[in-house]
Amino acid sequence: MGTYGKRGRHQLNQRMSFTASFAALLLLAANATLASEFQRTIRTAQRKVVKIYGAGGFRQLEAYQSGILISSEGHVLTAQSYVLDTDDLAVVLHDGSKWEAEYLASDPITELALLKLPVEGLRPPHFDLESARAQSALPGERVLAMSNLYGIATGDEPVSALQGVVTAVAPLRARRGAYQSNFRGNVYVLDAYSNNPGAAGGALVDWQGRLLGVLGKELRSEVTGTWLNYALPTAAIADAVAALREGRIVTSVTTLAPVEDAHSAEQLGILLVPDVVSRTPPYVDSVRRESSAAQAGIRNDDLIVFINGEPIESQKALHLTLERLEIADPVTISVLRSGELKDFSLSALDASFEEEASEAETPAEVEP
Amino acid sequence: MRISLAALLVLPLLARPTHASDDLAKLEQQAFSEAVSNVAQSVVRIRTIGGLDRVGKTLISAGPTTGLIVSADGYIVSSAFNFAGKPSSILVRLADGQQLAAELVGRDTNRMLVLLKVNAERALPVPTATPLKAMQVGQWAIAVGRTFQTDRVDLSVGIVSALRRMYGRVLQTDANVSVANYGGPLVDISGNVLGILVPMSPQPASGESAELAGAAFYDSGIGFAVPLEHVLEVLERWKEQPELLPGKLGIGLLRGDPHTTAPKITSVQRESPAAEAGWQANDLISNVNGTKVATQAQLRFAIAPLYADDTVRITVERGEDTIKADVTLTGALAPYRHAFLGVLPKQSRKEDEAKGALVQWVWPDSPADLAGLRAGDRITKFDDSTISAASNMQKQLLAAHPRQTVSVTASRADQTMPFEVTLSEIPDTSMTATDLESFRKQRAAAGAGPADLVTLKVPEFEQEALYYAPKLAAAQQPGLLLWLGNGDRQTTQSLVDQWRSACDRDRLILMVAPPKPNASWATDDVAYLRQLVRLAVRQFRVDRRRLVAIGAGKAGQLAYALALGGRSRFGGVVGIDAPLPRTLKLRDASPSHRMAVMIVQSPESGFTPLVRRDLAALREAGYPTTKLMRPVGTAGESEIDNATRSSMSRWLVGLEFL
Repeated sequence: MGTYGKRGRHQLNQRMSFTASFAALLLLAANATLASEFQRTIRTAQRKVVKIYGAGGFRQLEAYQSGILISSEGHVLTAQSYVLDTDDLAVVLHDGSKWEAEYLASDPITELALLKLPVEGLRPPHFDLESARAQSALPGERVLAMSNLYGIATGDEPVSALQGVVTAVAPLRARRGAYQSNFRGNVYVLDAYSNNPGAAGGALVDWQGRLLGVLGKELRSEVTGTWLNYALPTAAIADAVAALREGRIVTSVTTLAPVEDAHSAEQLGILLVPDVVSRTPPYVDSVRRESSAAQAGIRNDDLIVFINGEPIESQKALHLTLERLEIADPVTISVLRSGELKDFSLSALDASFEEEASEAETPAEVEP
Repeated sequence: MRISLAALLVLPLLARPTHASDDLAKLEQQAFSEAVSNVAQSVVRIRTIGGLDRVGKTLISAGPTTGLIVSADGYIVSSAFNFAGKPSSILVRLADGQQLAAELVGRDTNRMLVLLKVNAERALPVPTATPLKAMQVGQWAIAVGRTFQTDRVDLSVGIVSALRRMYGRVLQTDANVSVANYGGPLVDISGNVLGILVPMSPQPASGESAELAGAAFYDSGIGFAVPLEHVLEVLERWKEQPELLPGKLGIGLLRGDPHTTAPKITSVQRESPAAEAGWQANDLISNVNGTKVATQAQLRFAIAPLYADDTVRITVERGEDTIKADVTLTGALAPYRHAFLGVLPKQSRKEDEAKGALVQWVWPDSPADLAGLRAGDRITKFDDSTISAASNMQKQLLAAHPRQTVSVTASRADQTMPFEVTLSEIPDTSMTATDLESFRKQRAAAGAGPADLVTLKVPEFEQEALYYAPKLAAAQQPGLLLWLGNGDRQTTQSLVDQWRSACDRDRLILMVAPPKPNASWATDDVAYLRQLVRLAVRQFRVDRRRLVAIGAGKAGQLAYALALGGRSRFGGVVGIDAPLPRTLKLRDASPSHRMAVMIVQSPESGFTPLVRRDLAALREAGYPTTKLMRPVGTAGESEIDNATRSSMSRWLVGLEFL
């Protein structure tokens, strides 16, 4: 990942230097009022974002991250991570006031955790997640990412503000090494270098300072192979956070598991060329006679490129996709044949069903 | 609406200020969306099937990439990065969801673009290019891709940071440019296309493929785009000429800082555009297409944007003369081929200097033999140059080229005789055993060396090399066989025993280097071997023409890496049952240094197809390469059969010939 200072700070500097030169051009007083609107937005949002200090501090594991205040009673929402894995969890507010935080609970899918500060009637400024549930942004909308990235806000100072636009609203397909994100729903992909060390748990707000989402942990996109800058949208996390506050812990993780009676290339009557490299293209080597593939019209040397509209980049992808399709459902296989794309609809043949059914009916040998 | 918005926002830095008033922010945002929707119909999603999953050390992501339609009849431009994995099939998804098979029909290796073609049933929407002249640093620039979402484009907003970057080939932006949008357009605020997004790097890192160069800097705030206006200009030509290559002149320039050093020519490559223009060493390039050039950087700015087959008017200054020439650039310079005369000159001692190069032996049927030169002749002149010693003649041969006819003057029994010699390339075959036998009879062998192996250790490494050195007379300069062994004492001893007599006869030192204790050879052992060679060459005054690295299997691959990679000065390399390492970027043979390659192969080895490919690649790159088949059933590193050993030693003797 980018070294300190390499990512993200350019745009901010540009804005600041510009601010100065513009001030020289315009009436100072007028400028001050115009400028103050945007600055007020940032200042207001900054007060609701906190710095969290906990475990870590070795082997490139930073001992800090960010969080947002979500209630006047001192609830702090942040990313579930090793940083929270300590009894000595400190939360520092925008004004430098330091609080010992209590760890309440975490949600396994969004990987968010809830902390509580003993604020006792202080009523700190906070985001209202329930009303933010309705906030959303489209690609191209200008946003601000507020976090303590790189732990740069070391003293009694508020977190950093980065500006950018929403690049895309797309499913999170990301991982870090062998770890894969549990959340697979839509996220805001950003063009600010917002998700650097320490940024997880920070706020994504629009230019009116309204909360749009929570910055996620550092992950690499499985689509592009690059580090991803993203935030989990408020609408996608609001239920989970509400459950955490009420002490209900949601544990169901939906995964795309292989189904029991699944399709397979073999059963459809498709024999592929030998799978020799990691990305062997799924060329049809031969089609079994009287199989569903043969009946549908699939031929030797066809290159399978889509199954039910899902792109198939390799033989491995083909097997994984078929494994998840119920044998009872028909499959649409698209092939490339002499430069032409052709679609074929295949259903598992009744004959093979019967065969399997009769096999299943024979009483199984009972083992002691 | 769009027009007025665009007009309002042409110079973002004036309009943008602290005016965080909702209105302006909203107007800007609206302008981004409109600009992008203007071009979105021309932005396609590309999927590839098959191909490599890694190129070099870089994993290629299997995700979709982006392309931009550039002609209504189905031509699409994308970044070469997206095709570095050499996919077997390409699919294009148009903005309306239609899927089409695409074919890669062209490459531009000067700007790292590819040209795809789909057969569309309808006219495809082509975007408008922003004219180069209208581009300004500071204007809005929106990078657009179609990677994360299927039915929408992805966007990142920034400004144009610079024009004419990378020697005038690309513009620069601070919008995020990465795999997520390589191949997509960089759009201005009116929805016209500034350029096609590409990764680019001034110099690919060592071992990095050109397609991937620069991609690692995706989070640096520096992104590049090839102007669309340029792409549209070359499109017709590109359709006809699928490979657009960087244009080359074929000259070497004075060493030094390119920003201060004058473009003075130091060497002109044969059969190159520069050679055809009649340029010579010491010519000074002063003008390219009407633009004055005073430094090498300026010359590069003038030439780098051009392609092979482009013609440029270039002026060179030669002394008082000014010479103008229309030069047609080339895409591929012929690799350098060393010229061969076919004589073995005697190593000259001090007292023999200035008497010429004494021919000890003439290679049968070589140019020298055919011209009538004989052993005992003393060559005194080579073309117009006086030959005082053997080293002198070596230099002359480096400057000559195969098939060139030269006049050679030699003295034979106090008589001066002229010879016309038509030089050849260095032969790929070894001398026959009979020819060599008669030569060896004439030459004094070295005396037998000590029976026990001697140790040589490079101070900072733990390995200890063992060597056998014959007893040499004062005037005898030895060759050095650096054998990459397996570290086993027994094997080393038997290897030396096999080669001992050949070492005495041909004055060779056999040095067996071990891998690290309890390890096999690894790439980082190259550092150790380099140090070892440096030490040995100094200690034994080794004749570099016969400094040879040898290894079998993995050690053979390392021997290749050692001799063919980096700036090493080996005279030869022998790989036994070893294909060239996959990570080795084979460079063309150096004009300043001669090196021969011998490939020894067992019929049982599974590398036959690889070795065949290596042989072709080595010869193509200009290395004299000899292939030697071992007899059936003799595979094994420590046991080199007599026939193979005899062939190898004949090849080793050949390295001494000029």
